[in-house]
Amino acid sequence: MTDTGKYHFFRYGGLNILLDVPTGAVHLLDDTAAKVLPAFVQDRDRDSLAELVPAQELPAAQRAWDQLQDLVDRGLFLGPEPVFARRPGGGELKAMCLHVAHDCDLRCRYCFASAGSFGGSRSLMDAETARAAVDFLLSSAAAVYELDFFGGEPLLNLDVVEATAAYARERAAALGKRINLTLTTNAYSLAEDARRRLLDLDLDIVLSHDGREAVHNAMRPTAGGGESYSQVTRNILAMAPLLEERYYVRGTYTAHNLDFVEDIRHWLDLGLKRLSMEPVVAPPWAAMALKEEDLPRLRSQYWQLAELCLQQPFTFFHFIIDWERGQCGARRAAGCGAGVEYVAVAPGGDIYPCHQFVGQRRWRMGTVFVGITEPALREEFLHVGIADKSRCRQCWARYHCGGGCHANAWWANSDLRQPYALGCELLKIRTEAALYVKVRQALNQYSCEGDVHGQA
Amino acid sequence: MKHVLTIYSGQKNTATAACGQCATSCQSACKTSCTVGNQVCVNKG
Repeated sequence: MTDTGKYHFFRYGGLNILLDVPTGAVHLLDDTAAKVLPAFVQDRDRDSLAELVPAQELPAAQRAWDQLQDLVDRGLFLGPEPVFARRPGGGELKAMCLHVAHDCDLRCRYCFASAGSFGGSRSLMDAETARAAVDFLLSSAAAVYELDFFGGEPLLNLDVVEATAAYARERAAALGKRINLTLTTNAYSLAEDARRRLLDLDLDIVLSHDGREAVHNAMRPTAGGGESYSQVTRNILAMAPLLEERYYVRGTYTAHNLDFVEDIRHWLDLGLKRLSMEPVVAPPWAAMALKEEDLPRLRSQYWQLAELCLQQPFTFFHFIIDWERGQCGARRAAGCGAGVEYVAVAPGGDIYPCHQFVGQRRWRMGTVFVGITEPALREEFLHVGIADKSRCRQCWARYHCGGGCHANAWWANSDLRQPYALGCELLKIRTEAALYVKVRQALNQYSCEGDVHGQA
Repeated sequence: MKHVLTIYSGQKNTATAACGQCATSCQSACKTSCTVGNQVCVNKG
């Protein structure tokens, strides 16, 4: 396996896959080209091949060398790093996470929101604050907006969700703008009446569930300490078919279920098809925390998941790489957008860079009633793209993660520019598996002659 | 004989400026594990 800032080469499942990092181009090498590659990238002279391979292999090695050189000549390998605009479109605010409830009917053991309260008192957002948040969001110069109803558990404040959704759509239409609405719920209170009300709101919905019954119950108890699996599962299975493509079931895996692919199989057995399973982020001393020594096992899990994706139709969120409609390089270089294009709003109206910073006074940026009062914080987040992070500049996966999660960087290293190292390793494992799936799918779909996906 | 097969030519990734209209990463399914690679451009259909 080779890892440089300009390219990444890896082998899996009999395939030799070469990623050109700046362009995102993906090439498949045969064993001869894979053998030639190390010498080629070291700028060795083509004549040096005679010292590296037996005489009978030399003609093939020279052809492989010439074909690698052809990639270089076509700008598909070892090209210059593009210089991207720091923040595409000027960094207008365009997405908001609206914490309509700092309360929850579950007490998930890994919850970054302190089981829904975000370290403060349990509270609900009132309709006036929610409207002010919408006005604040739509006051930017963006044209397309995202508003996510979040918590805690937003179903505990469904009246305000309904009123705010209607207001947001009305205001966006009046301004000639577009707004997409989403909601994240633990589904514990997603009974028939709530399901009907949410369907009327025309939302994309994230449904939280951890997979197998024992895994789910161990991590996601009710506020009273009871088991939540049966009720949550029943509600999700009633809701998901009604949402067609507009849902994800989202789980968290921890050190207690390092065999998390079994939880994904459980979802598939339940008939769920749009899935996202995320690694827990927990203090290193916590029993549930993932550790460096878990990485080989987790790597094996992601490869199992890749093979599963090729065997049966379902969508795994972090394996999605859309080669036709994926984001441009400038967007990828800019990173996640927290604190600049994206903010979170607490029930009282305080603004934070993202949902994971909510409740931390050091990160309070202002309020929806008066706007941003700490512009230095916005400026800080404007300068945490991949160009600002020394580790990211040399990492082959930088255009797949955009520099990683700022909140994770802060909790792990107290430094927005120092990515969370374990998260980086998991991202790289996941990206290799995603690329492998894409290559396999492309090979299955097209003939093996020439450029099988897009024109050079 | 072909020793190198281009699966994806990645030509769109090198644009140095962008419209800025796309969704931010965390407005997505995961909320804890930032990724830009699987986001979709709003102007590409």
